[in-house]
Amino acid sequence: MGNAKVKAGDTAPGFTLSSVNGETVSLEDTLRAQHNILLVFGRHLG
Amino acid sequence: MAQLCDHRDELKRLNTEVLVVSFSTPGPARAWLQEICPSFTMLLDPERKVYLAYGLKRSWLRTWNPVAGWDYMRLLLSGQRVRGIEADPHQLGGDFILDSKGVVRLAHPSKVATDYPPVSDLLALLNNLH
Repeated sequence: MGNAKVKAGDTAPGFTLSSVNGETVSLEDTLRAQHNILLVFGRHLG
Repeated sequence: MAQLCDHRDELKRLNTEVLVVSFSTPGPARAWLQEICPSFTMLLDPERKVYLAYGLKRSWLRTWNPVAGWDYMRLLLSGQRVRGIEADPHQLGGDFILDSKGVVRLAHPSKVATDYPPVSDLLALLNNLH
């Protein structure tokens, strides 16, 4: 994974992460459920 | 984020899953989520690999600058609490809307630490995808 800018029209970089509840969540699985996704990356201030 | 949480029913109607990514550790992240919006899903990215994949960097200059300083002051003067997630104040965030095919429809990396897209803009775009 690099840190190139992600732009509108790009295919979203995939990921698999653990949730605070201990579940494994992947972008692929969430998309398989036919959901749009609002991905919010936390800043220092919420 | 709290403002976004106020629209959680509308987001659900718009078939939108909200995934919040944090670089924090589980305890503080869970506490933050409970306080702000327990219905959202919070994912942990302590190594910030996904932050990097989405082009989100750390920046001292973009954190401690007049624009962010004014925003902090405005929040405090309006009686709101300034909520820190934890630890690294220099990590910038961002907001991305992905459609159900995994295509990025909005990319909004933060220009400064307090930079969020207006919730109305997010909802308008999601309405167009619906």
